[in-house]
Amino acid sequence: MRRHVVIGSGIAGLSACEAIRAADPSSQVTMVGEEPHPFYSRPGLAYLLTGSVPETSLYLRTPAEVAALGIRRVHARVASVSIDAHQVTLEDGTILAYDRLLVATGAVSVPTPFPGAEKEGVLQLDGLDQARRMMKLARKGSSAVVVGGGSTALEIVEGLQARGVRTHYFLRGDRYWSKVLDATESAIVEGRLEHEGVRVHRNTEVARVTGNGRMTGVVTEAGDAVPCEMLAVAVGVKPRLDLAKAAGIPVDRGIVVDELLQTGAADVFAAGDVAQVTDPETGRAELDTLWSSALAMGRAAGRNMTGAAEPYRKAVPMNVTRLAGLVTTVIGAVGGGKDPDMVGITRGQSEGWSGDAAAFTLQDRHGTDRVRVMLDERRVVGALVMGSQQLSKPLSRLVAERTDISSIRAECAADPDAALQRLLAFHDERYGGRAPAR
Amino acid sequence: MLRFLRRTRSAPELEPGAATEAAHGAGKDTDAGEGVLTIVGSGADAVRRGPLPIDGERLSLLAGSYVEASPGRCVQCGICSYNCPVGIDVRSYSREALPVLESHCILCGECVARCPRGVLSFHRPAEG
Repeated sequence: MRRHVVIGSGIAGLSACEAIRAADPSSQVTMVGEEPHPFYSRPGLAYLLTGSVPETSLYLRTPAEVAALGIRRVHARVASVSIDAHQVTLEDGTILAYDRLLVATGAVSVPTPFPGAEKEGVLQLDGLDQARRMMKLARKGSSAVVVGGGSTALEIVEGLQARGVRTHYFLRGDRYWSKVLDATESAIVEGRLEHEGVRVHRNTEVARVTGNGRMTGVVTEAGDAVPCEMLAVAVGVKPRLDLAKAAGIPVDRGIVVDELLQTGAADVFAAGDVAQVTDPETGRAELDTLWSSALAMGRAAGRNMTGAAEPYRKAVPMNVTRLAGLVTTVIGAVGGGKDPDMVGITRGQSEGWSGDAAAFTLQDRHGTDRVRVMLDERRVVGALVMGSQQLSKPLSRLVAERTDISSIRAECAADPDAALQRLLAFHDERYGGRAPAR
Repeated sequence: MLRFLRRTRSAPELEPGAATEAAHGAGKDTDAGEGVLTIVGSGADAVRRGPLPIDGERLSLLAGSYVEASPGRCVQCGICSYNCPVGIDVRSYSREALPVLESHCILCGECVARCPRGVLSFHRPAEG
């Protein structure tokens, strides 16, 4: 009987266990995780913070489904992995022998970049425990400072604001999420935040945190004091590599995996935020922190651990996020440049979103609805759809299928106002379906 | 509270043509609200709740429509299931990439409107 051990209880680990169980009903599956909670939706924490959903609704599997899965869940921290002995040692000394191991340890927030971060009230949002802590501190009428960029920082801002907290949002640069959004999109998001009462401070950095034990406020680099009871920091995440490094599993920026999601160590696989996959199209080794990627990788790794040899094909990186209440879909390569607010990537982001191809932008604006399409010489390489989502589907398809649009490219370039309609008509001619009404 | 975070009870917007088409269809295919209840199905909840307010849009949706998911957008947060007034576990349909073909579904649009990621939409027969 084959023994499978999975380290990590996030969506990559869970989907791997399910795939193993489906392919090999009799094998032994042990999952080691540090969180004592039932499996929950990590991206759903954003909606827990805003109060849109109760915690129990975030649970991904019913108790019956978990029981049917027939896995042994161990709540523990792994001390070490011996790849020669095929053994995992837990912190209490327990040894788990494996025939196949999956490392799905995820990503963790990069440390807070200023002194005073150990004080009570300084938080980062890595999991359910921190979300609970944040909600406990988010008393109506209290004040908070949020630092960072990307989707996580904004999720915190929106969650705190929804709870009646006076929220200050510090941007190190002059606009929000410059790595992914263009200047107009940043302005839309910032404008909506300010309209709702969030105090957006641009070109502002925390110099230090004040208070003894419990924080009482922050002092900015410019010397301004902002009293607050909470400071939430989301300046990016990075793969949790400590275990793999110590075990001698080859790592680069993430754990290096081949197309079967095998690491450089025999019988050891990796999946999810911790894994570094090379995109066969571009040859680039990319990290992403997307739920959909983690799920697909976990599933593929699980199957391959049971003996299948199915290559994992990286899909066009796509994610949906709610920015100041606007549903926003990011597809393929849309951005570039530097983002002074981020040290690593944010959760729910892909490095594949950075495109440096010669591309131009087509815009269609109706109030807060906005669509940006990136074209290179032959195809649509990316799109960002904000507000109404009617165009997400056709644009995703054009990007994913690498559809050759060179026959209409000149037309699009000549008349950007009509280009979006032309592109949609082209999509419909090619793939059928009614053009969404605009 | 933030305006954009406030829960809204309104159904998702329909395209302008839908209402007219539906009103037309109503005259053609049905003669009373009772017939509509039959379309809703045998769901105990639906029957217990009595006739639903039927307007042209709703009728158009009821006739062979259902909620469908784009699973690639879904992060399984459960807001859809939490808000379903008849207790359908919409999330599990999205997880399995299945259309929500439940006789209890009253196509109220709560899940469609509340999904924070635009995962859910109405599939209408006209869309093929």
